[in-house]
Amino acid sequence: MNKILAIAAVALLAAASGAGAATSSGTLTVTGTVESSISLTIESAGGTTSGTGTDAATSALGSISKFGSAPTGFTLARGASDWTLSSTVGVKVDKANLTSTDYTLTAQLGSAPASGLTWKLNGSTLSDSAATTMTSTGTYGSTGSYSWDLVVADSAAAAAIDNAISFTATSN
Amino acid sequence: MRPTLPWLLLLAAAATPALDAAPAAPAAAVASELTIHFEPLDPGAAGVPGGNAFIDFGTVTAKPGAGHGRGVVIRRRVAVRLDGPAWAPASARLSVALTAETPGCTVRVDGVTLSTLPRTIDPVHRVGTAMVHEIEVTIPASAPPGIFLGDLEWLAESE
Repeated sequence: MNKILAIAAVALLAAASGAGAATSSGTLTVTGTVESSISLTIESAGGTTSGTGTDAATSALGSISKFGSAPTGFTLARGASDWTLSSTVGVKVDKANLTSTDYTLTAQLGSAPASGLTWKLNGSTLSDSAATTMTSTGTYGSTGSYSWDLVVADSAAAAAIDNAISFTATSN
Repeated sequence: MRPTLPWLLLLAAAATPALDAAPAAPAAAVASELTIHFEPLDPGAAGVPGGNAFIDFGTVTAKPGAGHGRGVVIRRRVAVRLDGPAWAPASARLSVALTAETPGCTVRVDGVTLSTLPRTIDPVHRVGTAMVHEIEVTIPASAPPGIFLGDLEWLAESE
């Protein structure tokens, strides 16, 4: 009797071991679509600037005059019949999930400049009616520096010169 | 010695059904009784009874330059429930593996980075109870645009 009981116990243990080896599998599929994108930020500009590092920076020049001091970050050059404030604007374009290797950057004034006032970027006169190309081979991830000139005719009326420069980057 | 015969007959009867179900591997019949069920908890996800499910995180756009070019991180939650008969083990080891690599992209479950080799997510996942797990997909800014596809193979094994 003792011998039989021992054999039975071994057999039951073996069965229990088999039950513990359960396995199961399932598949969870994760899917989605990644879209390309670029961003543009104003990294620097003459004057007392705010909002640098974003896409909406402001530059305040304060009161300016031909025979006064140049605003912060600007130089002042006096001509025979006009005077020019010169500085630079730093523009950075980044990309994500994009195979493009460079971009085109344009600039356009937000409104018509006051009479006797000329806005220039990289030597090109800006207008509010058409965009001006700054570069067609911009490098992503690096800040491009563009010369910025405000040419004021001596004949221009004393008034606010407020305006906006809209930059547009397009991947090539 | 007369009590001997009834004992032997009893053992033979218990073994017979298992042999009928899976003659080559008797344990397989037991294994098939444990099943995985997914219960997606976020929008864009769906579960299919029987163990498969999918999560569609839709269209995503990275913020260029943000986070030092980190790209975009998508997180979704899924409840995983292991089901089994009453005699099933109380817990099982849950592991996950990618069926194929996702070049440039990282897939994590509960913070564990996945690869094609199974990684243990929960060593004692309770059977019969839904446990919430977080799936995190990191797509770097350097990854090409297009469809992202990752198949996560979940494996539950009891001791």
